[in-house]
Amino acid sequence: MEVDKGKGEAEETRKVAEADRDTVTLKSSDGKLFEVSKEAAARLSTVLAGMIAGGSIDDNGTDLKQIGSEALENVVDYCNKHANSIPSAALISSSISFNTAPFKEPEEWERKFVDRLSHDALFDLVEAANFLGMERLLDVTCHKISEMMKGKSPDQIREVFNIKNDYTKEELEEIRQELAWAFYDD
Amino acid sequence: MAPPPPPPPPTHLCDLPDELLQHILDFTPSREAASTSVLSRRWRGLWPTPSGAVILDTRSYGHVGGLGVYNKRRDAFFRGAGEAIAAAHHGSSVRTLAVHVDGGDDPDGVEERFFTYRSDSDWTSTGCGFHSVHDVLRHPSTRGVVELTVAASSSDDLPASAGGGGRIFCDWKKPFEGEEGLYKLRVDAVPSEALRVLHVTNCSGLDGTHHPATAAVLFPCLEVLRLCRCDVSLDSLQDMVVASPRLATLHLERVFIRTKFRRLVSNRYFYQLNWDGDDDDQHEDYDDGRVGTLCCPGVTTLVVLNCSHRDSVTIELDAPMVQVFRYKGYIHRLVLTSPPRDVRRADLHFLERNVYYHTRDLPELFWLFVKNFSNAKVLKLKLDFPIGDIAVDDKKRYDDLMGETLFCNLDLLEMEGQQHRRKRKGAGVAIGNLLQCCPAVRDLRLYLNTVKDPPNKRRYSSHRADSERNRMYLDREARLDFHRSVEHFMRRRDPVLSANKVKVSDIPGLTNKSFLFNCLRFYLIRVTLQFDMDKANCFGVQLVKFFFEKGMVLEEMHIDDGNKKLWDHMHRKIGGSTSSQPCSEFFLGISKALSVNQLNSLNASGRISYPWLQVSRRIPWTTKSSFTILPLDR
Repeated sequence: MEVDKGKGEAEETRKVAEADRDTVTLKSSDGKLFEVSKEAAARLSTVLAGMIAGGSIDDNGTDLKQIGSEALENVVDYCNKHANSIPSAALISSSISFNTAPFKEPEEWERKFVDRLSHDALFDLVEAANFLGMERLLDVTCHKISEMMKGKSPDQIREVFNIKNDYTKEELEEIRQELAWAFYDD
Repeated sequence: MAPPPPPPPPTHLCDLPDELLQHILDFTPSREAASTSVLSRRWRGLWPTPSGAVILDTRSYGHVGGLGVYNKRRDAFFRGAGEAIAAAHHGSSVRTLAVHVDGGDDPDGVEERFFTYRSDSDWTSTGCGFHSVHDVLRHPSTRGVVELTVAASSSDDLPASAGGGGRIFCDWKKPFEGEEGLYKLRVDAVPSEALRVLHVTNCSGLDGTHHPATAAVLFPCLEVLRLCRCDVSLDSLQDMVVASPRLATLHLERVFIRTKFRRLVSNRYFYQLNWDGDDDDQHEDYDDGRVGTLCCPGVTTLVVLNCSHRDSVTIELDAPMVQVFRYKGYIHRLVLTSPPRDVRRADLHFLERNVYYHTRDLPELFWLFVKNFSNAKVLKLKLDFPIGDIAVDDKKRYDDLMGETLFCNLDLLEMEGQQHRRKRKGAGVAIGNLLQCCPAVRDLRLYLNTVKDPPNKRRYSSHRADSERNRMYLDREARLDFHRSVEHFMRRRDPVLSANKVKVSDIPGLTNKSFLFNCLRFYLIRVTLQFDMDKANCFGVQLVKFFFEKGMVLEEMHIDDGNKKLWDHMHRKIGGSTSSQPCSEFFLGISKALSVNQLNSLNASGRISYPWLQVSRRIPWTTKSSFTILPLDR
């Protein structure tokens, strides 16, 4: 073979390599396409694992009508980060992980990953993770939301999440009596 | 699968279904979780959740009583604990329990106010409920707990510990030297019947592990034991392991293992009488040179990070069943008595050598340690010192050390370490040693941080300052380098470098005749190299050349020259008409290393925006005549 490879030939090689690449194409509710590593998708999501095993993966984009493009982008981002760039515990060639406990606190990169999300994006991601059966991502996102509630009074929580109080005064008083310990010296 | 029609995208927390809101509450301290029922009607009746999670956190009561009024806060905490457990128990049963005591600016008060153990305390007779965390643990409602976390913190801790719902996140760089921990935990108070996971953080001792009277198994279901930032005695740790026949994962992070050896075997009575007391000094003289063993017969995952013990004693680890092993610490601190037979993966991170050890001993210590994992499929090594320090140049010495040991099953080998610019031979020999003992490795990853020059005299006292300074220096170097490179690029019409003057040489040591690299001939298909590029003939480029020439079945090479900038420039340049004056040192080095005049760079479509090199070569006896060079994706 020539040392000097023509551009066309190299282009061809690239196409072949791409076809061999183990990725799955996912389509969001608004029709955007995303590519994700097949191995990571199968490992992190029970639903995608089932679809891959069951052969219901469409080469032109598997429809995920439940998930908007923003949430799906985050899901794919999470999967790819998991597959590629975990500096401490690259799990690439081995599925053995150190996460044997039911839930270990989020790793540094997972923290950063959820920290940069807006509230809306975070809630969407919770839904998407739940829909796709991604246990770890669901834990990490829910953990993040719970951290926003930690150490806060109900009024502060309402403010953070923009929750409207629809109780009557009497009802509120009744619940406060019921759960007096949670409002002790409030 | 036919998905139902899409609902409008939720943008509000309250739009999430019940089970997801409850999942969020499972991570929230119980007081806050319970109080969510007043948020709005949507939240009523969500807590207690069906999963039976109770998280008791003194920080939920941080505002009670104001500053300094500890006792009021304490009472509120215990009252809340009683109510939360009762409510959760009423709903289902308490399956997850986490207790986090924050001492704030008074770490001494943690033990005194929250952990004082009284075997006679009665939680039914007092209105307030509990007097100590041990009462919470001993309460009948918590008997079915599956996962238990006990943690404490104080404002002396690093800010990182502020995270996590009752779970402390800890990452310290150096081994823990003991004399810390905020409370003593009575192990006999821990609900043991159904317990599968036990996390203990910031504890100064595990008490009540050894009961001469109750020889029966204490923790019939315990599978995971995780101690973080604790100060425990070897005996209590051993007792815990013995009491947990199903223990599969032992995770020790920043644990100081205290050793107290008995004076005489017959003096057992005396020893037990004193074993709770702080009588270290009394026994210290007898400890020197003694050997203690931690025997973990059933453990399959063993994590030992930054643990330490007194220097005068040796602690041996006997874990014959271990499959996954992770170690971070000084190289001499751990002795494995029997090599694990079925180890699949080992992550070993060795800290900078200790003052007690001379460089001469280091190769011995290293290879004897690593030899234990000869069955591993995945081996990751990280050295906080130059990789040349582990080189064994003398074949006879190497044979004496390693004997017939080969890492026959090893699939992935990763090595991260420093490399001195001038000491190439040592690094070359070290890589040669590694390749030689791994005959079937398919994936090799080398991450090298270049350190300018070895200091003439190692100043052992200021390791940290040194490494910090090095990092700053490297940062500065990288910046300067970058500016230089940009400048080159801007003036790229000028012939920047003359390609003919540079010659990439072989690495002394690595191309030794005494090395026979089986893996390079038949197995190694992927090489990942990360190095700091300083000039075309640098160690990293020499390695590229080496693997290109010797790797007969190589298919992919991932290269990171330190900061990727050169890739960007190279890509622009090569994209156009080929020039004999490449614009960057990197390209020059690589092209010289591969002895080709031209590289084809492609911009792969889609999400990958890096250039991609296709390189061909003439080696008549291989089927693959070209392989790919990809930038390392970080």
